[in-house]
Amino acid sequence: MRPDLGDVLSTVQRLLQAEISPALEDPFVREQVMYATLLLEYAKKAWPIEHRAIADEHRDLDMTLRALLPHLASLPGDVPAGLLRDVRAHLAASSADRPDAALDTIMERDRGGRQLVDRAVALGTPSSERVAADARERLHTTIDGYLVRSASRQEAAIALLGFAW
Amino acid sequence: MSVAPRLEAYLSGQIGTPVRVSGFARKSGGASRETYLFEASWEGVAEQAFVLRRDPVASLLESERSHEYRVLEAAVGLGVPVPRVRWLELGPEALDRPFFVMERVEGMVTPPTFPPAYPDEMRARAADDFVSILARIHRADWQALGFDFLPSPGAGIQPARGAVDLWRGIFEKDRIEAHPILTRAFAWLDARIPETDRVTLVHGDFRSGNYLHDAEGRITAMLDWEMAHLGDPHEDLGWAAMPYWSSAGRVCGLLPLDDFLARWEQRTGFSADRGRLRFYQVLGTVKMMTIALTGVRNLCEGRTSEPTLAIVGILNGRLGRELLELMDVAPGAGGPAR
Repeated sequence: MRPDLGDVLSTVQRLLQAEISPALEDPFVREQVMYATLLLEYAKKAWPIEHRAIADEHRDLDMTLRALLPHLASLPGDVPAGLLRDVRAHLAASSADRPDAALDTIMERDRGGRQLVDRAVALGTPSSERVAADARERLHTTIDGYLVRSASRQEAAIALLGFAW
Repeated sequence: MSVAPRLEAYLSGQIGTPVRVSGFARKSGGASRETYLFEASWEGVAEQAFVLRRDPVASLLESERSHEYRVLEAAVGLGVPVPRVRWLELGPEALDRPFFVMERVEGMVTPPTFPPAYPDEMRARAADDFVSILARIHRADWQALGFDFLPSPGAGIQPARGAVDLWRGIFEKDRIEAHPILTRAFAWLDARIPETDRVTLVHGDFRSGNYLHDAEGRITAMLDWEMAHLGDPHEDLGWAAMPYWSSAGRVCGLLPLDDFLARWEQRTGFSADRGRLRFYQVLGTVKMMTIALTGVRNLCEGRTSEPTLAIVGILNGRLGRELLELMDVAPGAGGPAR
């Protein structure tokens, strides 16, 4: 139903550009309004596809964490065991999420998932004596794949901004 | 009361005669401080152009404004073009927050990379000055020139270790959520801390966008000294040579990397170490991402409404990809098949 979110953002953008900005005398404030309209343009382009980007990140995190399970299970010590327990709990909770969960619920779940990936990165650092070199290599290979895909998703958002130097 | 009349009152007190401030206007850019341009005149002095740099509301440490002021004061002795600083105020009485005033230097500012559309001759002159100024900074006898208030890390591994620890501390303080790419990068840096053979003055933010130049491309002032410190000169080389500031295969949009390093070697008499350069390119990218995360935190927690901080935060996506490439984490890295 119209107006949709894009219509609302466009209206605010037009208001800023056509009415507010010309009435401003301070060039600094006018420039801030210009940046604000740039961000509104970004939001206009992002909102119709945001659910896909969030779903991609969510799916990738679940796959990555599942792939980490056997590596974590093969490692001795309390720290990998604690992380293994938390990853299993995260995956169980994630699979129990309602399919129609709100995007902010899914994003909050994913923040938790990235926290677990972060802990796995720390587990695989050379300073960690708990992890043998080959196990560390397997951990990093799995994690690096996620990092590359995640960076690619984040960089795609820049194209929506339409801004570079 | 707005800033201009209070500044007028402050300057009148400092100079000891009534001062008239005109053309007071805020300038955009510089998320770490507010920058204002103005002209001032007083008895016996015709209109003179100045720049006011004030801490933002989401404040930095008081000592940092003093740090930049002292560095700029000492930088005059380097023989490089810098604005002359005039007044420093650390208390809140005059303008609510710490600030300093410096004389304005004429010149154009570039974006963070020298614009590709500018004429080649202009680029060549800017490139020449860019390397010459950097070489002068690195060759400087920092003790004799009064930079000894900057803590000296000593040679060996300490400069790199100290720089990594400094930025890790800021990252851990300012991140509002887990950031696995940066955590991975800190692990990468920890595993490769290089030895430093000489400790020099380091500008800390040496790139296009932080100097002024004239219509012919000659650099008229090197700005933004607030991150200046003592350390490994490769830190400045790595920062300037970050992919983020590069365009068309040129460091900061100015000249190819090999040319940049060769000219720096020629003008300093030092050798550029490619391994150390890579380390400091990674550290520089980590540093830039961390600075952006500090801005994102201020934005998300409502301490600032600067839209540019959101833009810089979104641009972190590009830095993340460049960081992984610098660390040789290839696009085809393993992980679950998709």
